[in-house]
Amino acid sequence: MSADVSTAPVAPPMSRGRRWRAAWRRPETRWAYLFLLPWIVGFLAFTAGPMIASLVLSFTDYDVINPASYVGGENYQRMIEDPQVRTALFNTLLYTVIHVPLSIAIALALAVLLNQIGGRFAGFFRTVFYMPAMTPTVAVGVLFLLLLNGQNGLVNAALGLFGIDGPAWTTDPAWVRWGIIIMSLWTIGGTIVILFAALKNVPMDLYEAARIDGAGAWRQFREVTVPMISGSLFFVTIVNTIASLQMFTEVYTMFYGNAQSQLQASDSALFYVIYLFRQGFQFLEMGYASALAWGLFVIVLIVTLVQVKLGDRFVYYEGDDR
Amino acid sequence: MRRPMVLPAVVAGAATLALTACGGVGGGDDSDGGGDAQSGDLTADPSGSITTIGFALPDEIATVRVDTFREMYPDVEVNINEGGFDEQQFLTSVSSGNPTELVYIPGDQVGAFAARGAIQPLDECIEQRDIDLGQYRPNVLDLVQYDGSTYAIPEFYNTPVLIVNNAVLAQAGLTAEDIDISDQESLLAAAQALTVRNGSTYERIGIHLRLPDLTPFYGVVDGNPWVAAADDFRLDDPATVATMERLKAVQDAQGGHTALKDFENTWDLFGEGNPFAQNQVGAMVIEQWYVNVLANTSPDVDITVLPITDAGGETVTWATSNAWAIPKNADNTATSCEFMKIMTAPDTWAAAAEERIRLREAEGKAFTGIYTANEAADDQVFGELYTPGTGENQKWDDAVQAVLEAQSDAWVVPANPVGAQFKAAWLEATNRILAGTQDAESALAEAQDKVEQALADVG
Repeated sequence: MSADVSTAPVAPPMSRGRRWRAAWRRPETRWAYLFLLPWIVGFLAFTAGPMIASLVLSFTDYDVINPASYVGGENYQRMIEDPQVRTALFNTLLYTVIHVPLSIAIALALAVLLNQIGGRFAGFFRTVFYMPAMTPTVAVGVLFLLLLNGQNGLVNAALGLFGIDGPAWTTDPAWVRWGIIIMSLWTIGGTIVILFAALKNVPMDLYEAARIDGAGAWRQFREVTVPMISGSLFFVTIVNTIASLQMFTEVYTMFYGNAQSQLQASDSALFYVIYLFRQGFQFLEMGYASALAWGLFVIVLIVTLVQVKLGDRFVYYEGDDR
Repeated sequence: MRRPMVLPAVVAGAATLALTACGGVGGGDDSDGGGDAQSGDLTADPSGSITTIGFALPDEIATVRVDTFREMYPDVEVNINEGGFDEQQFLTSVSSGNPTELVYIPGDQVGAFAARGAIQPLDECIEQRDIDLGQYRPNVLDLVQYDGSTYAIPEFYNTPVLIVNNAVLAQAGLTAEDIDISDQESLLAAAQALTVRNGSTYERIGIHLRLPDLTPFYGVVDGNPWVAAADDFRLDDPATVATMERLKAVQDAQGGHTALKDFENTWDLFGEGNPFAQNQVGAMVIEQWYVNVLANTSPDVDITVLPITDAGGETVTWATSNAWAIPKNADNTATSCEFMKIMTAPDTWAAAAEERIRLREAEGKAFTGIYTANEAADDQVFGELYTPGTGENQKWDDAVQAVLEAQSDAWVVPANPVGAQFKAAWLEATNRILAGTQDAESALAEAQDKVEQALADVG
């Protein structure tokens, strides 16, 4: 016996409003919103509110002290014409382009190594590799001013062991960016942990099958490991890119944090968010700083959208057709 | 497994991270445009509590003066929020309508905060609490007076002098008279003769000009101050360009500015291993407070302190100071006024000096003075308390006399509404010129444009 499905009555789809009302009648929904309330209030007060405020301020001349006055798109016009914005943007993009792939490559290599370590030392090494990421960022800035000193820093001392006369990483404009990139590698512990967790989830039978098919170590890595952790690689790429475009604390500590550090600031250390911060709080141009913040948002958005589009082609999600 | 909702998440994340960088400032809802006069009875007895920011208590000169106020007004609660001046902390407190009662700010920023109404004019405070401005050095008052009003009460009086390391000079067959900051030829010769390095590794800087910190001072030495008035900046003046070119030549003669800066960053400037004790410097141009540091940390060091002269042989110097100010909408202004008065009064400075003398004597060290913006206080300290050193301490007495000679007529940057922009402009230009990434003429022209643009923005 079979039912005549073609003539069975079909309930009309509920409108979104009705669905919402129906859900709201359920106690679980109300409890869920109650538990979400602290976050919602926090989001509205400390994130959405300041975002809207900064959008409004970006169309004003506002010196933090006196009432803001509407200036239309002047701040955005100034942003386009400001040569220091171009300098800051160049430094920031260059840093991002070098730092993100470099840090992910090193983190992946270290994660693979960690994945090989078993026994009683496994936990020790995982802790050791993650610990630098727990160093406060201000402390990282100060620490690397010492490590990178061209005269008696440890980095140049290490290079000296190989007969290399290291440069003035913190004072020579030609080397300041590279010094900052070296410093940024200190905090790749978070990326290592994420990639290590992804490696742990790669099914071992895939490697066995690959070995049976005659694949060597490199082929296994390329054809099995990378596709299987591509979701995590995509995630760390996005997150590291956004963080790199917003690089601030370490560089600010090194070159702008106080009257003494500002003395050795060069154009090479002028990152976008640092320029934004100085405009707002040092030069009392909060309207312009707000416009710069929205400029950065647009840049981050574009870069992220491009990455998402590219990610569609390269990232494998379990259950996908590809 | 479904694909995660990546796009909305990253857009929301990006927006949050990018935009909250600038969002935490209140709305500045006052309509009076700042520059409030003090409210309430300024002659009232000090009471309640006051909190300060930007001030610290690193030594007896600070603590004794605060204690003096506390002893005079035991019912007043004084909270010293220790730390350096932080613009963000200060501005957000003013903008949110919750400022501290007092702020201690660099003198070169007084004009900018005054122009925007972030600090209050103190004229009523000065009048009603009988603060005698005649006691203060007139040139330092130029630093804190803007648009006809006094906006801050200055504390110290910092002026550069030349400190010569006699042992190093003797090794090189030179004497202190061989170093003339205004004479480029002798300066270059001494710098080269005194610098010691092994490849790129330094053992000694010959003549340390403390660049870029003191760059504007060399404009004064060369007879061309970089600021003529609050709205008259001369960074693109050909004389300024010439000054920068000669400074770069001195740095280059010693191996280049970036390498020198790197070496300087390794120094223990305030400790027993300071560059004079370690013979890491032949001669240094530095503010007079460093004489006090050396007298305390390295009493046996063999130095000579000299005032700096221009090409005509006249003593020239540049004075900077920090100053007390009352933020816009601050409470308890009567007590704050009294605090500023007591902190900078001659008797208070004298009490601090006495404590330092006691401490130095207990350690067998010389007292080398305190140098304040209050001339009456300095007269009291050096006239009544200071005892010239003898024997081993004779050199410190010579140093004190040199400092006092140097301080007689110092140039200051007039209070102006773009102090921060001016400093940033000359600093950036100086660093580019000295590092060789831009020529002096174009770097200084750019710096001048920035300052003029900032002036135009302020209106």
